[in-house]
Amino acid sequence: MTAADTTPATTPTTTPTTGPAEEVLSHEAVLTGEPVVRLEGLSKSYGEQVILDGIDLTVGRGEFVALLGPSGTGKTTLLRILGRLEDASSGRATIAEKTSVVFQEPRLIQAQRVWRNVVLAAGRGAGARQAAHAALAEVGLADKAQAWPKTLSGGEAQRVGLARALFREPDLLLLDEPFGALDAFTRRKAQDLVLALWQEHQPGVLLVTHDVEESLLLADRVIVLGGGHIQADIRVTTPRPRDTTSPEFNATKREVLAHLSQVSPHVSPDHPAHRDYGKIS
Amino acid sequence: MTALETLGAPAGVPVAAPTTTHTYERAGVPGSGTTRVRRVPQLLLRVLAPLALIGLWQLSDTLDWVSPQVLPGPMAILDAYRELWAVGDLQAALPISLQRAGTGLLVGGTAGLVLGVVAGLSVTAERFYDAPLQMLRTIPFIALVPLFVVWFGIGETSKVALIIGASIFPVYLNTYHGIRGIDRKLLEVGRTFDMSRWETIRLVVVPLAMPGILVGWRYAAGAALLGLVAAEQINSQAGIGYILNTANQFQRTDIILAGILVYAALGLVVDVVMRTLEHVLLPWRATHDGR
Repeated sequence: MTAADTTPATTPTTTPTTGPAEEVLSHEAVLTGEPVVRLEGLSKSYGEQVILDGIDLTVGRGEFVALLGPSGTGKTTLLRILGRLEDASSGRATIAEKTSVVFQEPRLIQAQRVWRNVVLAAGRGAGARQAAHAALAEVGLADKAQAWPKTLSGGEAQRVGLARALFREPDLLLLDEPFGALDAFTRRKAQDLVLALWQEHQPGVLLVTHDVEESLLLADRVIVLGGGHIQADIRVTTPRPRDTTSPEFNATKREVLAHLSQVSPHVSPDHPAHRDYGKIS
Repeated sequence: MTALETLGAPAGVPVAAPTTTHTYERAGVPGSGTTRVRRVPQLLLRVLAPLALIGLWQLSDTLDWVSPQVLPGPMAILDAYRELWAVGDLQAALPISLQRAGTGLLVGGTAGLVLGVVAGLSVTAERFYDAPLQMLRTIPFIALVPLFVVWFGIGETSKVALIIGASIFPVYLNTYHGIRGIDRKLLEVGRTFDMSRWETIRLVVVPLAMPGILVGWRYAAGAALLGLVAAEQINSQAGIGYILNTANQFQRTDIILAGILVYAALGLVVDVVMRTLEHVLLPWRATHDGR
């Protein structure tokens, strides 16, 4: 800043974006970086049954988006379209080339050692093993590189899935209820890990989840899907780490639950038992 | 008044529910005497029945319960081996029989493997030749002996052809099912991570289908041995089957039994080899074996 001020002749164009202004700009860039997903009027139907009906959605690089909705509203279908596992019926989808998926089940290849599962096709040389070790160290599993997937616990296997997804440094990271099968304690630790890795690598994240609290704990934006449409797009601005007991948190939670109750008749925003409403149906 | 009181328990005294207490002690540390002492009777138990059977067999021979023409005793069979060895028949026959079975198994098994992999990966290929192969499979291959004699003569060709025919189907079927049995979800992993078709086959499909493929080869090895026995009944000029045929003409029951036992030993060896191979090629499966 001072350099630009004292020698304006050399870099005259940089003057407007110096100092605090630049900081604000870069913060903006984190929230709405170049889009890694842009969907325009995206629809998907199986025969007569319409799953997704004209979805418009943009996710920027570095943005953490949670996708909520009752079972059968097409959350997973949307994720599978983004992961190029399925084609949409109509509409336009622009998706970052480097996209990784962490599935509901770890989906590790039992016949390959853990580090091989991380590398997959990304490389064969000696460097690949080194890189796999580094990725495993990031999820705290450096010592399991040589292990067979069968010997891992559920939480460990899911972390290997995460290391595999991050290994190729994705611009878009798709998470399909990755914590669903974990116990409460392991789930909490895995959530913290995902958050830390997201902050470190800054991909755009789309998290499909059933758990309202989880979505509010992690995401910048919570999108409620219902009847094939986006019913609500709620920004969560509370700084992290978030306190699930704060009034602010609970106010947002009530808002999200209110939207959910519109798309799913079984959910009441006032009922405490409906926190994890996905288990009710 | 509670039910317990009516049963005679004094009022006010808490009555414990019936329980049993187990005291667990750690099994012997490896290397200490306890484990060894436990294992020996186990081993003894395993060999006891076969040993008793052989003992009884020998006894029936010694006490002349059965004519040696019908069932010579174990010692007589050992003598038969000594005789075969001294003449040089056994040493000459074994490599020939092994070569027949080995060639047939290798050719038939490889053909089955290729057909199975292609059918497993390609629906078009499966539609093209799976049905005819399934029809051929229903023919008991031993029934082909007369046909093969007409086609290939009574020499080596018809023998090896029979063993090839016996080995194809077990490998084909198990390879095909091994590949089709792979969870589609794992193939999706390959797609999301931009793996090429060849990489998916090499890194996902073949390793995961390997257990099925090896089961196929194990069955094929058994079938090849069966094929060998059947093939060597046809005018054998050499091999174990030749020894059996010759012994048959001279009514040498002891040599016939010796020959049959050679076949049995071959079956045992094949099984051990295949199991070892499975252990070596499937280390990821061994991890869940209890020790």
